[in-house]
Amino acid sequence: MPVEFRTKVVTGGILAVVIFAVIASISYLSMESNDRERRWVVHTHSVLEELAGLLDSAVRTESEQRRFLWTGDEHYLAAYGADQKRLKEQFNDVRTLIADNPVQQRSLDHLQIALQELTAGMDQRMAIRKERGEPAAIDSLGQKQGWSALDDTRNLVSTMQAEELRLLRDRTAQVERSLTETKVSLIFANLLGLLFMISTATIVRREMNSRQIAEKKLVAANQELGAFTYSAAHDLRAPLRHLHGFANFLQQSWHAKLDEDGRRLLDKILKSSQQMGQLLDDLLSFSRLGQLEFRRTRVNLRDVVDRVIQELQPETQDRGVKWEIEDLPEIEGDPSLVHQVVLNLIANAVKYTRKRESACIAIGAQQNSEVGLVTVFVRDNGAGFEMQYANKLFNVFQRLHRAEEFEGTGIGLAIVRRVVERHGGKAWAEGELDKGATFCFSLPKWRQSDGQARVHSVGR
Amino acid sequence: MDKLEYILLADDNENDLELTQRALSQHKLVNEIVIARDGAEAMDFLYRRGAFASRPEANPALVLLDIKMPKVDGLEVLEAIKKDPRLQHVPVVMLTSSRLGPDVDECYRLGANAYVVKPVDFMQFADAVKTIGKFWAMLNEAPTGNVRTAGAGS
Repeated sequence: MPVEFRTKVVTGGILAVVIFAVIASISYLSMESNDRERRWVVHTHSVLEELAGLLDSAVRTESEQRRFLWTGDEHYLAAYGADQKRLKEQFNDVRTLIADNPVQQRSLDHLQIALQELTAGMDQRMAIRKERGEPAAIDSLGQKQGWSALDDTRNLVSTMQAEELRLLRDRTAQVERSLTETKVSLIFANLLGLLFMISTATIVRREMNSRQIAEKKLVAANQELGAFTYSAAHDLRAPLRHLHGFANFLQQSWHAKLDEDGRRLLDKILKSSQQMGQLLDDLLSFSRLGQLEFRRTRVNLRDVVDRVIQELQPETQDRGVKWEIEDLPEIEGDPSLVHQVVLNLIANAVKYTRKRESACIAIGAQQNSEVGLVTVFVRDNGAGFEMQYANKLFNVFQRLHRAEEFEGTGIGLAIVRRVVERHGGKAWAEGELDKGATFCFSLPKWRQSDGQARVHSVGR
Repeated sequence: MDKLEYILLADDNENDLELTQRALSQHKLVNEIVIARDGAEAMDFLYRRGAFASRPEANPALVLLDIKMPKVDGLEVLEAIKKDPRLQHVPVVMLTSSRLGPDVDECYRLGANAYVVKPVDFMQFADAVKTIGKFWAMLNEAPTGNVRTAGAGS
């Protein structure tokens, strides 16, 4: 399920990214083409302007020529020359502007001929004026060819203007079409993107819901399992109690009637049932750990350690145990559970140093690298263990020593780890066979510490 | 040694009954042990009903109640005793297989005088029963009509 979920989310994410990339490209391309179209519109307008200017210049040259023919004033001749020059420039400008348009090129070719005719006619008449005087020149004006060249020029210019205007209309329509297309595709892409985002969000939400349900189920199953363990252990106690009780009466009342072997067997029955009782009790307290609600208050570790050592007095009083207790911080946790952890570890240290002539147990604290935690260690010079089994130590009913060597059920360290982990800390161990062991656990520091709770860094 | 007049022992488990009886008689603490096999029988005895209609009037010096019993459980019997002005001074010790669960608090709330977990180790249990017996035997002459609120005993 999680793999499928991940694939879905990743796919949704990629699709969303792709869609937004498409939206960005469409927007960019649309802006580009819009800009291009706009430049075309500007271009068309300049062509139109140039054409209007060109026609104006042509008409003006014709007027200058006429005035010259009437008056013979050289001044008009100069103006005519200037206008002719401008006319040529304007013609070249138009030629450049419409270089891309074959239709207009062809019209322009015709216009060129018309202008040439017009100019030739005018030049001819002005030459007549210069050579033969006014009447002959005026007379030549009456000839039709001069008129038609100007009309042709006019017609051709308006044809070209009409063509440019048509192009302008087409281009405007084109711009509008592409704008509409852009709008539609942007709306579509955005909707698609939205759709993907909604469906991805839905998938995520559904997954979260199903995870929540699964978590609830898991918690319920866990509680059920805890309850089952509890009631199983509980119900097993009753027959065991009877077994032990009756064996006890047998031992008390029929002791004399049994021979040595019988007494030995009875003793074994009693010991085994006692051991099973201990196992059941341990199982009960371990399963209870998962169900208990625990408090979080200030716990003075030094007090806890002192009390535990006091409690272990009966076991240590006949032995020489050297206690090395360093400064201990205040921590945050459930007082009775923390007491249990400390008791289990110190009791272990006492137990496993039993065979040492000079037992030494050191308890201290170190600043933890993880913020807010404090590491506490209990070090002994007892039987130790092989490091390769270090992790097994903390499993339920897992032991590294035979019961004949050191008694116990193997629940103590499992409880330590469980309690510590429920507090958000860790528990671990280091050791060497026959040299000793160091058990460490980390617990949250008491936060409202006013600095009196000193934590000393301890070197080994 | 002072002896309890008689005690009422309510337990549905035959083995537990035999063991408790043996433990009590071993220490010669009791003149008589009246057995009830479930809560209903215990109620009948206390209220002199049914099979116990003709029993002598005297109340038991101590009631040992198993919590888990068929028909009427130990908590119900306890509640009835502690609500009845004629019975409420009779000390009641609750017997249970477990020290866990809501039972402990509930027992004390209902006015139990002690709460004893039956240990697996029979000798421990025998010692517990002996201690309880001695304790209540010594208080045997206490004034009647008052609710005894002894906190210890287990």
